[in-house]
Amino acid sequence: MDAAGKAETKELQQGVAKVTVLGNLELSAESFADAAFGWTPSDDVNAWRQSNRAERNKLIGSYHAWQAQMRANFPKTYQVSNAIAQGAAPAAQISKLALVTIAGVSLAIESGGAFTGVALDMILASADESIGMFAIGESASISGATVTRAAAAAAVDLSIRDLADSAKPGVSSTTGSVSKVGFFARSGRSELAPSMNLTPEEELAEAISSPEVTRQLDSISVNSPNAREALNLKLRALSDAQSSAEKVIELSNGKIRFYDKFRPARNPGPTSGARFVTEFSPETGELVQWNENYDNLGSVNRVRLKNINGMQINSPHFPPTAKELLSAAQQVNSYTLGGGL
Amino acid sequence: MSIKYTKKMFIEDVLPILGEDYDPVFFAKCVNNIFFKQQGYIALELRDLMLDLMLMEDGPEFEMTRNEVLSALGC
Repeated sequence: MDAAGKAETKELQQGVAKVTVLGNLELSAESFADAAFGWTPSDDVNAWRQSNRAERNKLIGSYHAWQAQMRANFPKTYQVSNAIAQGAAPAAQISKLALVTIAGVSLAIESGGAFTGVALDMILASADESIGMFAIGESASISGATVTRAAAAAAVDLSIRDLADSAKPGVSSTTGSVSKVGFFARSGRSELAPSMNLTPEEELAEAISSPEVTRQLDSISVNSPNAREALNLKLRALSDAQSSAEKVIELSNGKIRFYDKFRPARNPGPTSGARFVTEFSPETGELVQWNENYDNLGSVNRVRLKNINGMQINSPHFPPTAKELLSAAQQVNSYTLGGGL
Repeated sequence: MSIKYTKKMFIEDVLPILGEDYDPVFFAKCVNNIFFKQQGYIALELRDLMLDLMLMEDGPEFEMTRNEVLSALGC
């Protein structure tokens, strides 16, 4: 990686492309973010922005070029991305990156400016899990849930999903504010939060036991008309699955899984296709339906619970989709801004 | 014997939400609701189409444009 922001990519184990990009990537979102958060940049900030315009445009250009290159070279693994701001921008020299889990979502929150430490301290203190705070310029490598550091590397590279393509929340070069929120994602999973690094079976179990689902299941009582309707729907769902399954598997615990036909993705991306799955337990009579998505290696990378015992379930995906993450990030940003950072 | 839920009935149900402000994720959720209400009564060909449309909430890889949806519906 050189100081001009040239992208460097390399293929790592598990078929994951890990990418490091130099450059303050959120610069392109600056105007958007100013408007979104109602910030009026100070004269100093504006002066800095103006004086560094050429350099910043070059960086943004490099970033877009890198994105195009990534899409061309790694159309199947692009989601793994992405990069972190680095010392090419003056403010980044005092920027920090906090790795936290808030409300079950793993976030990389970058802050730059004089009050960086205070802002991130508050976020770390309020997070469910704080993985660490890193100075930009440090290198971090992940092994399971352990984060280790190496001082010599040029940039932080954590395979963090970058939201630059859409409405990236955050502001760069403001004093003490959160400048960037990213999400950890590697092959659709977090490298950092053990609670999100689950097998498909665990993913499903987590989905079923999530508060949203439990609340919906609790709302039904055995004597209610809802219960009768649920029983009716459950029987119809089972009959439907039996008549349309392409593949039927009996599990070692006696449960039967009906797999609908594989539905390939229409557009390129990390998910190659999906199947609608129905699982029935002849022993207990329980029935669960979900959609499972597959990555390009054929492994399950996301599940979406649909139906438990005839009750339609409205729950997020496990792990969440980019749109769900973006929505969560906006909530986090509202929270941090409301905290007076 | 229950009445089959047909493609014609489905089109009547979803056309009102296929306006200019079409949002694939929202549309997919609506199809999802219909699917679970009608599951077991849905004509096989329509069932396939509905499962395709429901996938749009799983990520951009599955999204269709409004025109593509209209075309799939035969409108």
